[in-house]
Amino acid sequence: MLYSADRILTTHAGSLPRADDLKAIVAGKAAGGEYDEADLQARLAAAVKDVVRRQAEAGIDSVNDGEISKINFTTYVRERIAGFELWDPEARVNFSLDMTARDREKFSGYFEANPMPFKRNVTKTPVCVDELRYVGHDAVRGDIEIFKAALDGVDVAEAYLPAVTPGTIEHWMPNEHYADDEAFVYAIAEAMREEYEAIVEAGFLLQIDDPDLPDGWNCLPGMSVSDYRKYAMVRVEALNHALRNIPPEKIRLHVCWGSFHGPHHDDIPLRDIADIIFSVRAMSFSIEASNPCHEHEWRVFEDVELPDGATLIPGVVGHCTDFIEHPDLVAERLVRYADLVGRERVLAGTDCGLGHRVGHESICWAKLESLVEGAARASRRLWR
Amino acid sequence: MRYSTDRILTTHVGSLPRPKQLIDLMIAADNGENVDPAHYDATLKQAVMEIVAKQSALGVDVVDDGELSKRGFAVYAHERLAGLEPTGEPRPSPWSNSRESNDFPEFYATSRQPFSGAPTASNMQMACTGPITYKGQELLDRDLANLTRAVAAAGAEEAFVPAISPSDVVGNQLNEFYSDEEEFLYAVADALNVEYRAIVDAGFLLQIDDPRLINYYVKNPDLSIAECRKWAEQQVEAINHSLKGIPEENIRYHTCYGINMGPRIHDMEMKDYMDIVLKINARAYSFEHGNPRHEHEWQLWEDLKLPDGKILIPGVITHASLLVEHPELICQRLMRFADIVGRENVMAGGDCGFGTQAKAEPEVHPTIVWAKFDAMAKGAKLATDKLW
Repeated sequence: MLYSADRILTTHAGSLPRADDLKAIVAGKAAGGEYDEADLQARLAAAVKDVVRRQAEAGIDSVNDGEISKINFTTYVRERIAGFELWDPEARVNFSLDMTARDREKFSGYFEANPMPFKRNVTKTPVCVDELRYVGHDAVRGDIEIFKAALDGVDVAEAYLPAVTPGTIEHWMPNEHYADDEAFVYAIAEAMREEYEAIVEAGFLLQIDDPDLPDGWNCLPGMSVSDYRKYAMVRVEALNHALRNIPPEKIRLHVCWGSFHGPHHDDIPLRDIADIIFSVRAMSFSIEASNPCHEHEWRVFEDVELPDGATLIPGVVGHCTDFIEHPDLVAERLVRYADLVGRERVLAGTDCGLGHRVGHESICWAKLESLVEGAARASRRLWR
Repeated sequence: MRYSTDRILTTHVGSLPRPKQLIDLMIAADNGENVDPAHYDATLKQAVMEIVAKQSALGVDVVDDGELSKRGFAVYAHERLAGLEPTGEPRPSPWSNSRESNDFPEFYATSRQPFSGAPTASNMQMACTGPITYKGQELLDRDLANLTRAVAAAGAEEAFVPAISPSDVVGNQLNEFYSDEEEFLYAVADALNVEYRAIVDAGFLLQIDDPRLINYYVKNPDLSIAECRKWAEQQVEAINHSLKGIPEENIRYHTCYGINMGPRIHDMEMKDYMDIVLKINARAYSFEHGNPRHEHEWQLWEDLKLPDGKILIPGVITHASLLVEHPELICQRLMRFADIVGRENVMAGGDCGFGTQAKAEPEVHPTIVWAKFDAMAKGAKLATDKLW
């Protein structure tokens, strides 16, 4: 992990734009269609090389592979853990998690007029029907090799690879095998442990993508805050169990509130779960901070302390609008955090992955450009 | 015009979501179909009653008629000014050949093509072919009567009526009659003065809507900031001419960047135009602040003095995002202004309208618009609690 020792360093939360033809092949593979593995690998290698180079040129200090090989979280997990089976939608029982559930109660008219693209649109759902077992060794090795090759000769301060949490996997893949939810989530944790460890052993920072920690609240509209905190703590304990062999400074945690385009009117306040977020075995924490539902939460850090030595990566540009955040606004946001937690403990980040969530790839890169320029402006104010 | 004397007052920019019955009638009229005028007027009257009541219920202090009768800025001008004729061609996209579409051609090509196919009344390119005079008295009287009735029924203390600026009208037409743009501009200014006076005479605040003033820069890639400032100074003189005879205390002025949901990296910055805007003979100024391109500009007021007695109406809710602004964020935004220019000189407003065009697909879904208004009232209350 990095500290902003002499200037505010920059990173982002994950996905970056990928070419339409590659997207089609990756999606086709995810849907179980025919594809040419050698051709796909060659295309992935070229695309990752390109996306790493572009991040470096844009001035991003901590870069990733743009999640180019991952069409979405669920499909990627299905390829890496055995024990799931694809079921027809009508065969699913007791499973209707929807991250827009709380918003839907108040904004039914909006959701009728604007069906969520995030709402499950696949014809079959992976269901856990057997003991879970990690089988993603080759797949993660492939990601690592492609990323390593792409980093060769590129001057960046840090490289990270993302992996998803047990709790998020639990959201999208129902359990028909384990006795209860806790046993299921620990089984996922034990399987994903191998992936987490492989990423760190390869020399990369591990980014744990944990949207479910905040957005489980949206999925479970019946819960009170105290019920939800208990629910979330079980998932974090399972995650920490999976991370037990990895030094915390090799781990950063990314949380977000589901990142769908909608009102987000009833997102759980950061204040209500901050202590749970900071109990994850990580030393770097990436949070949403640039959208109108969470921008005000910088003030949480007036009285909530970061764990000792930890860094904070507030989103200073985001996916919720195609407007490009003004660099002066980016700087203003960073300075607010730096004044509260110390300049060396703040990195500039994004609310969530921008790749497929903004109107065009040019918007994504313009936002990252603004992020870098804003970090430079903040640095000039903070190190003068 | 009221000041935020004992609490932060709330208002908005103008257009609000229309009920479906009204949109259907407007779309039919726009396509040239026969619409029974009595049925249309009754539908409109009822809709204005409801929209004013809705604003009052949501805690909006200074209300309007939601611009429900104006199905677009351009067509509203055509209906009210004589001397304009249709060319038979549609107006070009407002962003074609702009700094924005030049820098983001793929984005604007795929996402933003508002006008295509045969022109309807709303997007018809008009040309000035004769002397400009005001002919909208009947439509204006209808609007003012509807609003008067609705305001009385809702018990709203203060109401405003948006009206287009002469500069904006001129920017939307071809001039084939006047010898130059200045002559055209002043003719439009004289004609619109009739509407402006009638609004104030009816007991309402007049809001001048003038997006062209700050969009001129993005739409004219060959012009420098200095050249656009010079142009803007001339427009402001004409706007002041159009306001002659109307006390400053009855006037508020709104400018914005139009409904451009693109990247907006070339928006003219407030530091480059606000000193000129302050020369407009208005008491209150409404501008975009609730979006990530302009939110930082509150800092300008640390250096730019707001003349005594003037009011700022920063946008604290926006059409630019579906996400509902958190009341705490709205409170923070208002406090930043209040701390600099004084709490009594700040009102909570919007970035721009939420239903500029009467279209089947609203810019922001009504359920979200009203949640934003609810958040604005709550945010203003939070700020009030801190400031008083």
